[in-house]
Amino acid sequence: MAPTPRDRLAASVRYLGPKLVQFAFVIWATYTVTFLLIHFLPGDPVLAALSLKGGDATTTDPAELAALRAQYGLDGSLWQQYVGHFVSALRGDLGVSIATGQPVADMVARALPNTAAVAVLALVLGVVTAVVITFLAFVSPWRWLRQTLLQIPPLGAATPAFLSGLVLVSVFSFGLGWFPSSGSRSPLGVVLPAITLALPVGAIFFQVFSAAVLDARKGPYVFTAVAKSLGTGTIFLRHVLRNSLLPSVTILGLLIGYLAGGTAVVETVFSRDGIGRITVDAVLARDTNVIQGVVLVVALVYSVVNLLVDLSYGLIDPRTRLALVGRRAGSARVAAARDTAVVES
Amino acid sequence: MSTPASSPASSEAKGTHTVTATPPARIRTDRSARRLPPMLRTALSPGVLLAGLIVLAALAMMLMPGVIATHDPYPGVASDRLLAPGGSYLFGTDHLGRDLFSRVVHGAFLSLASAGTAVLVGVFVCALLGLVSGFVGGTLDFIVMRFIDVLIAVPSILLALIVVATLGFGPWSVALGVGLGAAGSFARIMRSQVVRVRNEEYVEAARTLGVRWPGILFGHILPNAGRPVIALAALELGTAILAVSALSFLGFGAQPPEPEWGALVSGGRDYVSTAWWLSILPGVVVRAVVLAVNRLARLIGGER
Amino acid sequence: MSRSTAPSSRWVAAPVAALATVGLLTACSTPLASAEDTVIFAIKEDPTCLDPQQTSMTTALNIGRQVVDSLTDQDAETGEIVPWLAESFETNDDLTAFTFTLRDDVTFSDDTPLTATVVKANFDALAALGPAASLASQYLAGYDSTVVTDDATLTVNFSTPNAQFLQGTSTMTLGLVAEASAAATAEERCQSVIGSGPFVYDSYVPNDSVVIVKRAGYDWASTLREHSGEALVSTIEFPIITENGVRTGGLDSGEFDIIQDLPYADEARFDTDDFNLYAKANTGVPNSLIPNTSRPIVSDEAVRQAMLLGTDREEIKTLTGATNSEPPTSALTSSTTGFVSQADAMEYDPDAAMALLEDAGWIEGADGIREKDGVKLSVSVTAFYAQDVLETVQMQLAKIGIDLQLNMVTAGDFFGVIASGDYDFLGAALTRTDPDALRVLFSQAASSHWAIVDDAELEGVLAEQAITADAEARAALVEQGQALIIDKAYLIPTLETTQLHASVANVHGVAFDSASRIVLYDVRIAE
Repeated sequence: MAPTPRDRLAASVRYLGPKLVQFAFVIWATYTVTFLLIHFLPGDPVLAALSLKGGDATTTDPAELAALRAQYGLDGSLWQQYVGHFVSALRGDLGVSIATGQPVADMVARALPNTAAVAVLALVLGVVTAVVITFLAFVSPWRWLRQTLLQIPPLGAATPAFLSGLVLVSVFSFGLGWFPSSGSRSPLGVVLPAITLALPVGAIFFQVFSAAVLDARKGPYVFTAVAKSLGTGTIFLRHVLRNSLLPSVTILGLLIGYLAGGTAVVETVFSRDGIGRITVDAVLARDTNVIQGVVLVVALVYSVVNLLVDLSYGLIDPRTRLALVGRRAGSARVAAARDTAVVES
Repeated sequence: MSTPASSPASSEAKGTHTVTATPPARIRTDRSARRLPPMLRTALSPGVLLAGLIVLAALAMMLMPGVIATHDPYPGVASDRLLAPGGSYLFGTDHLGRDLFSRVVHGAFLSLASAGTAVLVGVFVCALLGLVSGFVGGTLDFIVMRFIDVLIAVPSILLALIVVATLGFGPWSVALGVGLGAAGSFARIMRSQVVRVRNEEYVEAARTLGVRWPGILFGHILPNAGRPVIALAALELGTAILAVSALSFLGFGAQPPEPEWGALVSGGRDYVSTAWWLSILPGVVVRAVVLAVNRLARLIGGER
Repeated sequence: MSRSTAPSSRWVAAPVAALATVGLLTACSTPLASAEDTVIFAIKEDPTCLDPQQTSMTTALNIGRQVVDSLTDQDAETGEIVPWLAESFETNDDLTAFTFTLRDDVTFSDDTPLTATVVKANFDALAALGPAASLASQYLAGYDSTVVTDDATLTVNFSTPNAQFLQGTSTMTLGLVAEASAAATAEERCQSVIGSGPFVYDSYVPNDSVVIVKRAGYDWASTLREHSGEALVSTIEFPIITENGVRTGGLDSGEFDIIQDLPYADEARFDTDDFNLYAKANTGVPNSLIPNTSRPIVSDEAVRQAMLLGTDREEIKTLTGATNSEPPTSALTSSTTGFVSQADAMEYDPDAAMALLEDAGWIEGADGIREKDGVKLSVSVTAFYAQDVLETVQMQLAKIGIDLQLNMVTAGDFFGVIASGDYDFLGAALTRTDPDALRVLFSQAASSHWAIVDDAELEGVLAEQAITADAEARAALVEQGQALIIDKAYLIPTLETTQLHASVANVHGVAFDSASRIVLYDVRIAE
C-alpha cells in the first residue's frame, strides 16, 4: 500500500524532529563542554595578550593585570561568566578577542571562506583520487597490481602535512613558479594547500571506500552481474559504486572534524588566514572568546553536514528509506545501519 | 575507518543472506586455488614479512636503544655540526653536532610509547562506551551516543591542544589529547559492531541455549566486535606518532633534549635546503613504521 | 655581495642638554629613483597590533617605522640625537623638563597639521593607556604633564628625573599619531593609525598581509636618511610568512624582494652576489640566564660563578649565532651605548668552574651531576625563544656537572612566571637602545624587573644612573653596574642576537634605525 502524502509528512516530522533536537543539543553541549575545558586551562589570557604587544616590556604589575581582567569580563565566577557568554552567543555576539581586540565574529567570518575553499577543494581532490585508484584496482586483472595500487594512498597519511607542504612549495612555487607560495591574495593560492590536505584526507577516505568496493565485489549482485556478462566498468558504476556510497558518505561527515584540525598545519605552512590557524593562536594565547567562537562554528558546520549526511541515507539506501517511511522503525535504526555500514564495508 | 572487510565473523554472518545460487565458476576456481590457510599464506608474503621486520626493528630500538645507537644522543660535538650522513654518523649530525641516528634510536621509546598510550586511551574509552552503549541499548545508548556526538563535534586538534596546554607539553599529554580526540570515532564503530553482533543468529542461538549475559558479552560479542576496533587501533598508532610532530610544528614544542620522532621531523624543517637529512631521515623512519603497522593492521583486520 | 653591518656604536658624550639647534635641514640632493613601484617584504609573523606606540614587537615596528615619524631621530652610529619633527629641543639640568620646537610644515595623512596640542594629546593618551603601552610607560616614567606654549612649542614635565626620555622621543614608541588616532581606543588603534610618515596604512588582513602606500607630498624626512621628499616606491607589501623555509625559498625564487629574519643557518647560502644581507646587533642586555637569587641553589654565588665560567660563549655563537656576531662580554651588548667589556671576568674556564663547585661542596654524583647534602645541582631555566641557545648551554653545563632543565613556554606563560616569581633562571634578552636596560632588568624598584637579586650597592648604582644628566658621570655609573653584575654573576650572558635580513641584489636603501628597526624610506629597486 502506497503511503499517502500525509503519512509522508508525519513520517518526515517524526524522523526530522528528533534530529533537530539532537542537532541543537550537540551544539549546546559542545559549547558548554568547551567552556568548562577552557576554564581549566592554566595561564592568563590577559598576560598572553599583553605579551603579544609588549614583548620584553610586558608589565607584570598585579594591580594593572587585575584591572584588565575585569575589563575583559574574566573576573566573575565561572557560572556568571558562563551565563553572560552564553546569552551573548545566543544573540549572535561572540565577544571580542582578548589578544587582538577584534570582534570574534569578524575574525571567524574572515577566516571561514579561506578554510572552506581549501577544505572543499581538498575533499574533492582526495575523493576523486581515491575513487580513481580504487577503480583501477577493481578492474585490475593482476593481483600484484591491485596490491600495489592499494599501498599507495596510505603513504599520504604517513607523511606529516608540513613536510609534504614544504616539498610542494619548493617544487611548484619556487621551482616551477606555477602557484604562489603563500597567502590568499591570488585565487591560485588555494591549490597547493588543497593538494597538501588532500593527501591525508584522500588516504582516510580511501581506507573506507576501497574496502567497501572490494567487499562489494564479492557481493551477490556482482555475482549476478558477472553472470549477466556486464562489462567491469558498468559493474563498477552501476552496482559497486552505489553500494559503497553509504559508508563513504558517513566517513565524509567524520572528515569534517579532521579537516578543522588538518587546516591548522596547512594554513601555517602556506601563510593563509583560516579557522585552524586562529584556533592554534587562540589556544596559545588562552584567548577564550576566540576558542569558544571557533568551536561553536565548527560544531555548527559539523552538525549541519551530519544532518545532511543522515538525510542523504534515505536517498542512497532503500533499507533506510523504508525505515524513514515505515512507522515503527526510528532513526536509531538508520544510525545503526550507517555506522555498521562504515565498518562492514 | 578501518577495513575489517571479510573478517570471519562478518562473512559467516553474511553467508546466511547470500543468494543460494551457485556462484560463477571463475570465482570458484579462484577460491579452490588456495592451498595454504589464508592467514598463513598472507603472512608469508614479502610485504607482510618486511612490515614485520620493520616493526621488530622499531621494538628493538624502543627496548634497547643503548645497544643499537652508535653515539650518545645528548652531547654534541661543535666541530661536527650539520655533517651529511656518512662515516660514523649514519644519519649525519644536527645543528648542535649531535648524532641524528642515535637520536632517532633513542627517540623510539618516547614516540612509540606515547603513541601507544594515545591508542590505548582511545581504545579504552571507546571500548567501554561503545560496548556498554551497544549492549545495553535503550536510554543509556541514547545518552552515550549524544555524548559521543559532542566528543566528535569538538575538533580533535582543539581537544589535543587543550589537553596539552593544560598538562604542559610532552609526548604523554599529546598522547592523551590525541587518544581522546580519536575516542569518538572508535566508540561509534565499536557500538555499531556490538549492535550488529548482538543480533546475529549465533548469539540468538546462545541465548536460546540459556547462556547468561556475561557469557554472551565476553564469549561472543567482544571477540567478534573487538576485532575491527583492534585493526583500527593499529592504524591510529601511525596517526598518533604524526600528531606529536604536527603539534610540535604548531608551536607546542617538546622539552629538550629528549629526542622524539615528531619533534625531530618538525625541528629539522628549517634546514630542509641546507641539511635535508635532519627532517627527511627521521621522516622516512616514521613513514616506514607507520606503513608497516598499517600493513599488519590490515592483516589483523582480515584483509588479504 | 654587499653587507651593511652597522659598527657597534660606543658611548658618545652627547651633551644632550646643550643640543639646542643642531638641525640644519639640508637634505642631500642626489636624485634617487626606483625602477619598480612595488616592493614585497616578507615578514616572519603577524604584527597583531599596527600601532607603534603600543607594540614592542620588532615585526610590527619594522612596518610602523614607515608610517609614524618621531620628534627626534638618533644617529645609529654615533648615538647622537638629531632633530626630526622637532626642529630643536632643550632639556633642563635635572632632566625633569624637555622643551621641543616643532617644524611648521608637517601634516598627518588625514591632512591635519602637527601642532603642540597634538603632541600633548599623544603623550596624555599614552600615559592613560598604561599597561596596554608598557614600553611607553617605561619611557614616560614619572610623566607629569605637557605644557603647550604656542602652536609650535611645548614642554614635557616629569615629577622625577628621566634620563631616557629624550632618547625615547626618537623611538616609535613615542612616535606621533594624528589627534584622531590618539583619541581612539587601544583596540581601534591596533587596526590602523594615522601618522605623518612617508607611507600610509592601506590594508591589514591578519595572518595574511599588510600593505602600505606612499604618502603624496611628504617632505620632512630626518636628515639621517639618504634623500628627501616622497618615498621612492609607491607600494610596499608585507606578506606574513611564518615558515622560515618559505621565506628563504621565496627570496631565492624572486617571489619576495626582502625577507625579515634570515635564519642564521641559511646565512652562508645567501652570502653571494645575488643577495644583500643586512645585519645589526641588538642593543640592550644580551640573551642571558637571568637569576632568581631567592632560590636556594641559585643564591649560591659559587654555582652562579661556575655557570658563568662554564658557559662557552664562543661555541654558542658558532652553533647558534650569526657569522659576524661577537660573543657577549658584558651585561650589555657591545653595540649598546655605555658598553664596557668584562671579558676577563667571564672567560670560559671549565676547570676553574669545577674547582669553584668542589670548593663549595658540590661533589660529583653517580650520574655525573654534582650533589651537596643530598641535593642535586639541578636548576631550571624558563624561556619562550632561543631554544637552541639553551640546549647548547645545557650541554656545556652538563660537562661541569650542572643539570640545567629547560622549560620552554609561551610568551604569556613566561610573563606569568615572572609575575609569580616561580623560576630559577629566565632565558631571554632585553632589547633597549639605552643602558637603562640594566635598571629595568635588575632594579628591584623597577615595576616589572626580571632578575631577583638582593644587592643594595647595585640597586644604588642603577638608580643613580637613571637620574644623572651628565653623560660622562652616567657612563661611569653604567660601567660600575656592568662590573658589579658580572663580578657577582648576577647574569650569565649567552649570545648577542643579531637582526639579520636579506634582499635580492637590486634592492637598495634598506637601513636600520638606532633601535635596529628597519627604515624603508630610501628603499628602491635598481634597473
